[in-house]
Amino acid sequence: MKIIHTADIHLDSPISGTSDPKQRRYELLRAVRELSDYADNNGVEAVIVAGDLFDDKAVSESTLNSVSDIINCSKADWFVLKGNHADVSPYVKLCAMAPKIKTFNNDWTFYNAGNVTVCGRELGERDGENWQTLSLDENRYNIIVLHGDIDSDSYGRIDKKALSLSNAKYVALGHRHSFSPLKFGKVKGCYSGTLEARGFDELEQTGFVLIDTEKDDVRFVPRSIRRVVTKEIDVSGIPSDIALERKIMDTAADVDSRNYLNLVFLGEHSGLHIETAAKVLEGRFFALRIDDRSALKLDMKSLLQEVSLRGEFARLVVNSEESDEVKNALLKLGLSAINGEELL
Amino acid sequence: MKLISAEVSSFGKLRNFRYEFNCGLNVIRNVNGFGKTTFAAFIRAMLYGFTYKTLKGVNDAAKYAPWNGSGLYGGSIVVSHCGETYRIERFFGKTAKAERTSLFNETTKKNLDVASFLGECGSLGEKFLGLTAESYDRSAYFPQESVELTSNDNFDTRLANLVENGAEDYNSVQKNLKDYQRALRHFSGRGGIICESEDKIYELSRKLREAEESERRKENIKDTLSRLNAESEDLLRDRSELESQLEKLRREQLKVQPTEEEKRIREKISEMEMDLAKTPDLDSDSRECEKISECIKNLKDDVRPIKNPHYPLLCVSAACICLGIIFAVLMCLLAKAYWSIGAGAAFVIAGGVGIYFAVKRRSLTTLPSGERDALVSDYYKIASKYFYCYDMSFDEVKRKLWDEYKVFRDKRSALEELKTKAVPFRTQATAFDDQISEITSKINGISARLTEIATKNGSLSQELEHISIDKASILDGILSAKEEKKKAEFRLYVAAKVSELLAVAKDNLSTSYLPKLCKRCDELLKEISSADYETVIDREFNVLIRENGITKPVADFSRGLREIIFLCFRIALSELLYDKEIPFLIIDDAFVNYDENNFQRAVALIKKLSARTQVVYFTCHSRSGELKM
Repeated sequence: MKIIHTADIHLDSPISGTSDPKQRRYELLRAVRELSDYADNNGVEAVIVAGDLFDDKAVSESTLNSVSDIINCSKADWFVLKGNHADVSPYVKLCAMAPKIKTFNNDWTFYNAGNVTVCGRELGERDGENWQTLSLDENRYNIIVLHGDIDSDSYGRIDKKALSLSNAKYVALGHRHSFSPLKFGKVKGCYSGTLEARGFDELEQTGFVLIDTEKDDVRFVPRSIRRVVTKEIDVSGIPSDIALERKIMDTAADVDSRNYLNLVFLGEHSGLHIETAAKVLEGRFFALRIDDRSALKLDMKSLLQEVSLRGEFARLVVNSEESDEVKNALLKLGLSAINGEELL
Repeated sequence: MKLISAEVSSFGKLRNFRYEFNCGLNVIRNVNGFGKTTFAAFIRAMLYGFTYKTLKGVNDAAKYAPWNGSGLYGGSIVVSHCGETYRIERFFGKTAKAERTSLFNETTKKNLDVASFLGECGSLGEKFLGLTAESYDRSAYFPQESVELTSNDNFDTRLANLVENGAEDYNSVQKNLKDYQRALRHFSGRGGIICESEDKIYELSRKLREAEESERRKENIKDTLSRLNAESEDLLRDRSELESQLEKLRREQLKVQPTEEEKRIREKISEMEMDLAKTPDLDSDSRECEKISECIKNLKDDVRPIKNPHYPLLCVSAACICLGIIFAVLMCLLAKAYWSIGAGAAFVIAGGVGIYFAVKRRSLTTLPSGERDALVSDYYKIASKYFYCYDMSFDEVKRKLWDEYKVFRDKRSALEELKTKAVPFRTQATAFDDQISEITSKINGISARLTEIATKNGSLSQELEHISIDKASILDGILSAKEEKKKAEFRLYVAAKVSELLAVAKDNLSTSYLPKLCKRCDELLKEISSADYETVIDREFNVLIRENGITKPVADFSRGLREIIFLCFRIALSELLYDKEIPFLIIDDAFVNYDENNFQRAVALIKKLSARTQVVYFTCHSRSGELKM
């Protein structure tokens, strides 16, 4: 039996950093439809959504209609865990609109299909008690569905030891937004990651996990309508803002304009105006982030020995208890101010 | 480090120029435009290279590229450092990449790898002199503008800039930082990017609440519509059932339709009822008239005296009495006619008699004639409701009224009789009518309610259509505004911190270095001046000069003296920056505009310095004072 595992789609979530958040939200919905199409076209019999199908409060009627339509038209069974975005009302409505959905509650809920058992629960209440009572038939292909953090109890406790002893073959996890395969003893598990990136903090490849119970195979299937592409630019040795612009353009030339472009500036420079230069890319990508990690080219050793306002200022900054990021920012702004430059 | 020699291949306007330096004083006198400043820049470039793009956007390399634009340019210098002699060869091009630097240890006769030789130092100048390029500019190199004070110059500010090495005045730096912070958040009141973001968040949050309220309203409307639709369906169902019942009743009713005779009787009854209805009160009126008639019959004549006096007689009598009295009195008094007393008395007596008869007069009247009239009048009034009777006598009216009443009574009896015949039919028909009426009434009630529901439905549906909720866009806006606010808050934090640290840095600089500067400046001043000057500087670089125990602001002294004091500060700072003896000074025609006294003092100072410091003095003038070689 083929099963899809996905999670953290966050339909109708607020989206920032792009000029067309509505379009992006629509694409999240489209990703669900494409997932359903993939399932239908590839003989997938079950789709597991391990939590956070919806975002919190802004789920629109139109989205609910679309999702229920997708699920109702899908040939697969859909197993949906609510997750940690607390508002349950969209799920209640969805269940009414798409009765074939199979959901989970605070105690273990089991569904059987062929020789596969899908069981899961919403974490956060009576976790200890439930972990003690988990019991699975070792002769079946057991899949456990959970939404939470394996390294923290903030969203409920995931008992790794209990998982390793559980007779499960696979643990379908949700909560972390990047794909990460895991092992609980001999038990395989994954955070499936998300279907589509919603911002620059989701840098990894998006997709879903395809499980083949007959072959006991688990693999990640990458897919995306848009993704986050990171390009690094070393500004060391770039003599001018115009040269920097040229470098930026060259670096971004091979990036599909439909994507999110994350430009990371590294190295040292002597007063380049990075944000200003990067504006040359404004409007050319679906979303653009300028991550300036460069530093002013300074002979820190000499500067720290300098008898001057600069020198004294630099000494105070270096000896302060601020983080490196803040110190870098202090030096950039402070030295620009001392040199009478425009403060950006 | 000491300069030993310099060879310029090509640098600015200089071509194939060579110079051998002395350990102490070196006076290079040449005409204007020779390239003295270019030579000073050459020495700097050999030690520190070029900045191909300065922070102000100036490209030093382009400034000194050969005017004919041909290829590489540069040369070499030979220096001694820590007992060894080094030859630095450096050639520059249009970009940093074109630059070529080589280092040769003349003592060991070895080519040195520049990068390895430099180690952690950023430049050869830093390696040999222990100074950054900026510090070199403040210490070793004295161009004219660095020691001259114009009439507009503020000594304190110049000195502060010198010590602090800020390209801008410290106060300007802080002002710019304040302006930068203010753009992020005003210091008082609301304003700035952060406040704008907060306002945006507030406004969007309000819109979000409105959107949520609209959502709730939408849900309520949907619930209401759902209920109304359910009610509507129930009512339609009920109405349909009632209409069926009505239909059934009507069919039943048709089966109990009256015969012609029954119809005629019903019509007759109806007619008679209408007829009788024209005289609804005849019964009661007739009884009333009967009573009146009885009263009239029972009335007796009864004569009663009239008790009222005869008023005319009374008045005349009173007048006689008065007249008689007055006449008698007047005649007696005026005419002494005592015979008038008798006449008067006669009048009085006559008046008295009249009064007696007026009061005593009696008359008789017959009471019943008045009461009788009233009763008859009442009778006529009642009778006139049924026929015109005012030209008839009472008895005629009585008879007529009685006839009318008899007719009425007969009709009523006939009606009762007729009704008796129609009772069975009426009961059946009435029952159906009642039921039909009841059901019709219910149906009408349901229809009215359905109309009400339809109207309500319409208005709610219209309201629903107009409710447009886009929470997601609002949340997008809130998210973006929060991110913007966070970035701005970070920038504000950094700016405030920079401002704070600069203030501390300035303070530290003042407390650390100013006393040392003042002390050394005083020493240098004493060396060259006959007067006993003492300098006092506060943290704000306000400079005071104490001369012979009297302290005055430096601005109160002559320009010449101020320039000398500034030169001493410059030299003192150089020593401070080097943290030891200054290895060399390059003075580029710095005193050319000094007056004779100041020039002499300045050169005296330089001469003294040259005893322990290598001095390269460029001038285009013949005046050299003690600097004569």
